[in-house]
Amino acid sequence: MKKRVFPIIIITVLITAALFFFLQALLIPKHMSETKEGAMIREYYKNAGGNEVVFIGDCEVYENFSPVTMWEEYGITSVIRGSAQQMIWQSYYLLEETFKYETPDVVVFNVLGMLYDTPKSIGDSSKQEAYNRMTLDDMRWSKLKIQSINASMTDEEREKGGIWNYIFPILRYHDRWNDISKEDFQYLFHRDQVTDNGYLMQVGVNPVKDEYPRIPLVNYEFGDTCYEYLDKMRILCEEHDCQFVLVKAPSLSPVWYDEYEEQVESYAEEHNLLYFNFLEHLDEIGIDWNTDTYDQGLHLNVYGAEKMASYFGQILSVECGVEDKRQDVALTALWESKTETYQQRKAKLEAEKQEE
Amino acid sequence: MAFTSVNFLIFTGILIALYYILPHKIQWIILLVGSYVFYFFAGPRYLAFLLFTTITTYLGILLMFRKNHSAAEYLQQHADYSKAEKKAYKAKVKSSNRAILIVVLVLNFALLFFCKAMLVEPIRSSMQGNGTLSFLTLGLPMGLSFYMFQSMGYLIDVYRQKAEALTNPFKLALFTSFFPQLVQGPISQFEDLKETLFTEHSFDRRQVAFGLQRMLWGFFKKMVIADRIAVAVQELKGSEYTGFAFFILVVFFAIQIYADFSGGIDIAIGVAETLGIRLPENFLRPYFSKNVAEFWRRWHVTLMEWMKRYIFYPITVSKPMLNLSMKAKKKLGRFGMRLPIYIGSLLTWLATGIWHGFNLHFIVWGLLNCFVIVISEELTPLYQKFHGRFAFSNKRGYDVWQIIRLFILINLIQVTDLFENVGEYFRKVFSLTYTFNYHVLWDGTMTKLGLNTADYVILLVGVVLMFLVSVLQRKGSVRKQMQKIPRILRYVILIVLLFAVILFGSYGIGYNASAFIYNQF
Amino acid sequence: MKKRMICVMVCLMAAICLLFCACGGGKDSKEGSTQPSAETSGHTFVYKDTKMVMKAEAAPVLATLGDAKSYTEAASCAFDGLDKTYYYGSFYLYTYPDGDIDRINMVVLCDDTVATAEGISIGDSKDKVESIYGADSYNGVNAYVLNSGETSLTIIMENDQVSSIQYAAVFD
Repeated sequence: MKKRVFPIIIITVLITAALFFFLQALLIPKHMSETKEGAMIREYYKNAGGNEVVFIGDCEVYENFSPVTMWEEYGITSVIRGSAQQMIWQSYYLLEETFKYETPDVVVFNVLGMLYDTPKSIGDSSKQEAYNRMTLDDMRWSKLKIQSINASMTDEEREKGGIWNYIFPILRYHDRWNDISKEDFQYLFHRDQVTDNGYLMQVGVNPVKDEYPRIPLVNYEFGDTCYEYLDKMRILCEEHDCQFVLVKAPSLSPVWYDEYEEQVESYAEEHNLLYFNFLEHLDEIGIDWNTDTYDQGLHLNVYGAEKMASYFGQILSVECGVEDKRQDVALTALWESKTETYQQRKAKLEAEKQEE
Repeated sequence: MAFTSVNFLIFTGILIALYYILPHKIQWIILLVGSYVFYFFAGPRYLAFLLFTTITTYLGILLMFRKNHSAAEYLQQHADYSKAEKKAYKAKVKSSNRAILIVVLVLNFALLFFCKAMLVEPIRSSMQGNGTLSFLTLGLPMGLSFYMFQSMGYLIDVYRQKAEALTNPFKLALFTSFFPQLVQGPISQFEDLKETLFTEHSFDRRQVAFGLQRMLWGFFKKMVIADRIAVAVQELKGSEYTGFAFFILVVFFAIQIYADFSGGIDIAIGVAETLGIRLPENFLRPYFSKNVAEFWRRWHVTLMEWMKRYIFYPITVSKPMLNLSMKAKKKLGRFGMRLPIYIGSLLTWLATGIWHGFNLHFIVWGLLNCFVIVISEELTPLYQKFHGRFAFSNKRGYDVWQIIRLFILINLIQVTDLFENVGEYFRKVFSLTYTFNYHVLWDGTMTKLGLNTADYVILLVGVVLMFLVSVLQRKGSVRKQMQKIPRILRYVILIVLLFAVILFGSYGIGYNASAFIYNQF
Repeated sequence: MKKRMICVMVCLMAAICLLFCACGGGKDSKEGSTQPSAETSGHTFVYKDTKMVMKAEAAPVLATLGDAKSYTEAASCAFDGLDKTYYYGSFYLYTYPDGDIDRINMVVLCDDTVATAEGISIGDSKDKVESIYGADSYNGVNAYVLNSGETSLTIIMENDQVSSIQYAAVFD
């Protein structure tokens, strides 16, 4: 009698565990039809390896540069590790993780991240928590993920469960049982690709109307934490013999003040880094704020992102010496298929827009 | 480290593993270290309070023990003493022990009083703020009232020579700090607890399983029911809710406080059970009581027992009281004879009120209880006549009526807990007599309380489940009864309960985490 | 001997007790001071009888202010809802989305035709600011920052003159 009990207990425990992980998979938001930004981080692992250029940063990278265009025009292989409201320490840990998978020739960091010094910088803590989840949830488990989580958590997150909410996401999403939809079952164990090598395509057009006000600020100085992580990224790139390039994407809001510009310029000069503020080259790039933005100048749409890629690709190949890989048969085959996916997506989105 | 945190589960898991893997001889040491680690996480600075109570209790006990010991020796050496001489010597010893007792009691209760008094203003200001019972997280050293009462009770027992004196300070430290009961009781008596606390326990699968099951049930009550309904209770406290809406508050609060407090106790008893340690029950299906006195024999049993042993009895049988009783009897008859009981009750209820906090509403709460109990005590002959005359009053249906009546009455009193402003409380109670706004049930008010339909369904199922479990309990341990059903079915029930807690628990981001209500005391 | 021991013990305990009292008292006063007062709604900008209370719903205020001279909006990444900016010639009004409604986030005064409720406007002197708001609120660099309730009022100085006046909602 006694002998039969333990197998039953073990089976019960196993069933319970299986049920636990099934429910967890079911309850985690899938980000397939809405807030696709939440599905971007996991896509990197599919695209990792063999990229000459890696972009790191927030929406100003994943909405403004089209890797496929850079391939088509310059034979540059690139990937964007972007996520919504990516904080600079998250950028750093993502970069450090990237070096585990590949060693690019150039790392491009968008300096808007310098404005946000603490998890509180963006104000609303529940929003910050949601952004944290979008950047952190799908990072693969490693020491880096834990460090990134610890650096990112809001006060509420620390108070209520802390890192356990990330280790067992069901603790965070347990109350989604009320919002379970078909999508949650459909994407239980897989996800569709929502980006093209990290670029999240938008085809809408919403022209810039009025100028964004430049109200004076009490303090224009970047926070110490930002400098700390910027230094860390720079040093990390040095260690991996990789160029660290700073850019400011052509976005009209948040307003980029001259005081910000001076600080970045002096940092770049001090450390001998290349820095490009694309806001100063709008005409050369050919950005037309009537056609190239989907949200009144905050981000570029695909037409703007392609122009941007075309302009920056030139810089990367000429000034940074990034090689044209179009002679590489294997890479060419891979990127041709990426290009095809990209064109199909563009056609599909444009058709959908037409229908609206 | 709250009971309802992952950290607590991991802490308990590690502790249980060490407890059974390491030599059984050191089990009590593991518990002591574990308890201090647990308390350390609650706030290192509070350790000083725990140490203070432990050390003073220990010194008191040690001094009394030595005194008694040397007195015994002395009497042995002086066997030639006359009876009167022996008696005089013993009285001398007793009075010096009493001095020690009083010093330790005064020091500790002064500290308790001080801490409680300090809390009054912060409670007031934070209760006006938002959030679910946010005032509970304020700075009273965790579990102070509980471990202090337990220690002082023990000290008095030693003085009365009703309990063995522990001379090992570390064992005493464990008795004072045993972590499952540290936060919100139950308040154990030394003679009960020592049976299992210091003895060696080998791993007993069934006992551990029972403990875990009890914990799970506690988590269900606390997280699924109490924390969910807490949102609505918080909202209904608002001054705009009077009349029938206030009645709904009374019912909701009754559910909340029972699920919260008894759930916490289930977790405490369950944790102790996994370690082979027996803690006293604190709730004996209190809402099935028929009168207030019975209710208080079944609700927060260990505190009321404490009050009875160390306050009510000593007062009622003290010499001045007996004298008073004699004198009063001559002048006032039966009422006079019972005067000590009234005074004892009054003081006990005042003490119980103050134990909850230094606020007027707690005192009102105590007095209301006392008032109702004394009145019904006095009317007992009348009731008996009534039951003799009307046969229907001895039928089952009448029992149900009494239970419902008690439920409403007692919770009208309990709900004072929510109203720091006593005037506001009475205003709301009186509004029951003239505001008949039953329409709040269907005019959309109920959906504005922070609960949606799904929440109400979960609450309803949860409350029905609690009720059924209580009904089953009348036949003894529900877990033992569950042993009789097929194993598979039993496991399915437990797994469902586990996932009910995980999915339907009100915890985590976006929820106002509420501490156990009784953590504040 | 024993009496003396008891005496020593009592003294010791009394000392410990005092120690507790001391730290207990300190703790209390600290907690008391961190409680935000629910009564103060904070500094409020009033324009032609329209009160602009931070975090209040924007719609009624926008309705009374009429058409803005210019308007911009900014979506936050990945979320619904827009941060909106309305320009009324002499001041900007910023809103942020909270569920389905917009709430007032910031009001920035742009010229000397408008003033704070206490009478400070752009171009006023340092002395005038200090006479009204006190010197204590100076941040030591370039601004007077007054926090009250859920609002902070920031008066930025340039060459000892007020260069910008900003009301902003304070978030935890």
